[in-house]
Amino acid sequence: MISQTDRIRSQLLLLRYRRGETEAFEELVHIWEKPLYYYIRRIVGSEEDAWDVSQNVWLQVVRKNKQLRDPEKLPGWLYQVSRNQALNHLRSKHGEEISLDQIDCFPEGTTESGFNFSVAEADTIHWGLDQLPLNQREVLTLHFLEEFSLKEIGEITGVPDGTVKSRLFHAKRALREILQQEGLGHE
Amino acid sequence: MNEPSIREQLLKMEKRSPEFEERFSKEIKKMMEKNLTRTERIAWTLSIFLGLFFVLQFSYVAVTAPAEFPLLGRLVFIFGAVCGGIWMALGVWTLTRKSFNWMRLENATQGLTFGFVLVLMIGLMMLGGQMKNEVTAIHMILNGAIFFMIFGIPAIFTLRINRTESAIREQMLKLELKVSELADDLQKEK
Repeated sequence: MISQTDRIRSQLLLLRYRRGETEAFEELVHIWEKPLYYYIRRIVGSEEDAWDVSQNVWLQVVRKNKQLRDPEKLPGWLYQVSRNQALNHLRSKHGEEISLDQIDCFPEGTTESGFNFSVAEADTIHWGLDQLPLNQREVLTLHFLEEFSLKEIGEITGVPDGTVKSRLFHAKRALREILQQEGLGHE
Repeated sequence: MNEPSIREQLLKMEKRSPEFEERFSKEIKKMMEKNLTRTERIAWTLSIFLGLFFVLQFSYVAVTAPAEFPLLGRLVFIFGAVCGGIWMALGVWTLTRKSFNWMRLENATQGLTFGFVLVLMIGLMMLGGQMKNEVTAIHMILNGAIFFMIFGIPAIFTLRINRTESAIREQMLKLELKVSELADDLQKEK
C-alpha cells in the first residue's frame, strides 16, 4: 500500500491545489498516476485505452475535487473515479450497459481469508491477474496495490462488504490455482 | 534496506510506452490551464457588459446624487463602481488569455462576488441609519437586514468555517507529515 508519508502528503497537496497551487496538482499526479494506471489497465483492454481513461480520471479530479469533503478519503475516491471512468469507457466501446457485478459468478458467504501471497511471487501475480475474470481481478488488484479494507473496496466498487470478502477469497484461490497449474506458484 | 512490497514490484512490472507516457504528461500540464468553452466565452463577455453597467450606473448615481445625500452613500456607490471595474478587468483578462488557472479564477470570482454583495448590503443598512426621512430609513435598514440575515450571515459563517477548517487541517497535516518523515528516516537508519 501507499506509504503513510505519501498518504499524508497527498491530502496536503489536495488542500494546496484547492488554494490554486498548480504545482501541488502535478505532485499529486506524480504520487498517484502509476497505481491508478495499473488498476485501470487491469479493467480496460489496451494500453492506449488505459492512458485515455487515466487522462479522463485526472480531468475529473481537476473538475470535481471539491466534492470530496474529507481529504482523508482521497485514495478511495481516486480509485472510485478511476473505476467509473474505466466502466464508462467500456460502455462507450461496447455500446451497452456494462457492470462488473454482472459477471460475478461466485456465491457469497465465504468467511475464510486464507491464500496469502509473498513479495517473491509478485512477477507471477502480475501475470496471473490478467488470467482472472474481471470482477475478481479488480478486487485483487485493489487488495494488492493499497491493501484496502473490505469496507473501502466495497465503497469503491459499490458492492456490500460480504460480496467483496467472497470475491476476494475466490479471486485469491483462483489465482493460486492458475499459478500452480502453470507451475509458477510458490508453496 | 527494506524489502520492496508487492505493490512496488507490481508497479515496476507494468510496461508503459514512453510515447503514451509523454503524451499523458503534456495533457496533465494542459489541464492546469483550462481553455474556455464557447458557453464560458459568452458568459464572460456578458459579465464584462454587466461590469460596465455597474461602473456607469454607480458612477452616475454617485456624481448626480443631491448635495444633502450622505457621504457614506456616495462611498458605497463608488465602491460598487470599483467592483464593476474589477469585474470588467477580470473578464477582459480571462478572454484575452487563451487559458487560465481554473482554481485561482474560481476562488477570485467567488471572493469578488461575495465581497461586492456583502459591502452593498452593509452599506445599505448604514446608509438607512443616516437618512432624514424615517420611513425610507426603516425601509432601507429592514431590507438590508433581511438580505444580510438570509444570505450574508450564512455565507460568512460557511466561508469562515471552511477556510478555518482548511487552514487548521493543513497545519495539522504539515505536522503529521514531518513526524511521518522523521519516522521514515529512523526506519532507514535501522
